[in-house]
Amino acid sequence: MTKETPLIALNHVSMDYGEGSESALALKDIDLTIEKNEFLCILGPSGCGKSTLLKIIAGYQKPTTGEATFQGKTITAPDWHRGVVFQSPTLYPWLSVKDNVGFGPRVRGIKKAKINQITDQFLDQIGLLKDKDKAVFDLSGGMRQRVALARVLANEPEMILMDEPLGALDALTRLNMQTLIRNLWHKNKNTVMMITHDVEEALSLGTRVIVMSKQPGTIIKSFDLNYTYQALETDNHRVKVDEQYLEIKNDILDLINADLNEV
Amino acid sequence: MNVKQSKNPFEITLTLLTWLIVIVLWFIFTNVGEMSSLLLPSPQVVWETFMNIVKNGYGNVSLWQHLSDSFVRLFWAVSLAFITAVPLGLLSGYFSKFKAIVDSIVQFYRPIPPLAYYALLILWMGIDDGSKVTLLYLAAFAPIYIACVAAVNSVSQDYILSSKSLGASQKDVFLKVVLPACMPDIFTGLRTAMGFAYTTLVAAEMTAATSGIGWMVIDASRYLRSDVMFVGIIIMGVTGIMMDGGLLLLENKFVFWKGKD
Repeated sequence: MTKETPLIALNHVSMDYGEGSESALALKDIDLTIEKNEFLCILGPSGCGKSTLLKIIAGYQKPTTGEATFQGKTITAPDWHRGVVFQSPTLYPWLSVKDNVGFGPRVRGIKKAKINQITDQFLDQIGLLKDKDKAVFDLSGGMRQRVALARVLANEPEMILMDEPLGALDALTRLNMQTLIRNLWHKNKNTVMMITHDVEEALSLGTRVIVMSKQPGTIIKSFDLNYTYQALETDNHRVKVDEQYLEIKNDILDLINADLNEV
Repeated sequence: MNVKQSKNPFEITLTLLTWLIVIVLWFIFTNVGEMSSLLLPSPQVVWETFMNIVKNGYGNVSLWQHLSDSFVRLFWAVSLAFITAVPLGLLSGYFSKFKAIVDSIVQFYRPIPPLAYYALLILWMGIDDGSKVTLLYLAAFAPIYIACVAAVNSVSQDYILSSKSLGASQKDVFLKVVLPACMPDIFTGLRTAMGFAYTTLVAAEMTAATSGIGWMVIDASRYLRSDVMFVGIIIMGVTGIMMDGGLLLLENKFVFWKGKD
């Protein structure tokens, strides 16, 4: 039996912006694999190259050295197997909520009846089925981000990449969105990579949390967690904070702070 | 509905009051003072002339004929400009090599006042509608083209990236994301072009024509018929506002999302 190829594999990936004396090393020698059904959260100070990492996996940028592969094949361009949720929802204002969600299936040439069924299914999952004919600019920030999520889910991609998707939302909306994202991930058996700068968000969602150093970005430490499974089982969908949780949280904060204070 | 359209009643009153004062002042000046009616005709005279022109026309041509002559020229020119400038502008914005070919030509002729090359156009195409439509076409082309190039360059990069990650091909990105995202700016360009072409139209009719609203004014000036000139000028102003209002209505219908995302 051969070992199953990981969904995503990064081999010695480095990213260098600019040239000569002005060059800035954003990522240095990153080795990372992401397996199917993982929920990977990436934590790190701003400017540590988290977003660069996501752009490389999405196919928006090519690494300067090293290689990024998806299902064993080198990533060269963006495609629908790797859906992306941006920090600000990039919904198209000229399309209604339902047409935004159906955009992916439509450009992929799926039949109209099937698109309608898919759109309804995912709008139902995010709780916005009744708003399907509304214009996107009539929705609140949280609702827009939910539509952006449904738009990516509608393609049923192998992998969902999220770049601080809840960064622009208020605290309460954020908590509800975290529960929603967790439930959708579990229900649809997705693989998620999420960038965040909120330690608690990472702990409550991730099956694995990776901490990155400041520029040039490297992976300092990786934690395997099961709080997100716990949260799935409780009624209020919140993580039960125990001793270990607090220890890990402190560990992570110490790691980030130590790294930032280092000259 | 639209924020910029909902003026409050007080502001509407102010606007109406301004016009009332202008007309009252005009009335007082022309009826009380010693103002020669050759230089400044009174509102009543202008109204009478207007009714007369509506009924009997001017220069053996009815008012509607003058207006329709002008607007047929304008309509053809702006329509042609629209269907050529939009694709060329979008392509220029999208492909830098395409821009390298088209852009410098547009930038070269754009600042030249259209009347400067009108003489050449008459020489080549005769004095009839052909040369006028071409002149207006050239006048209307540049604003639409430039608006399109700028529009493509200001399309949010995240719109394009997200559509690619949703499975859009290069063609889908262009037709389903870039084109609609550019629509608000294209409409602004169209309105600018319409205004510029209209100004050029009147100027061209004043230079060489035998009908049209611009010709009516210049012909009246030869006989010192300032009342007819007034009627013509007021008609130009009112039709200009009406045209822009019509385009604004279309804009609110077709780019209903403008300024809302």
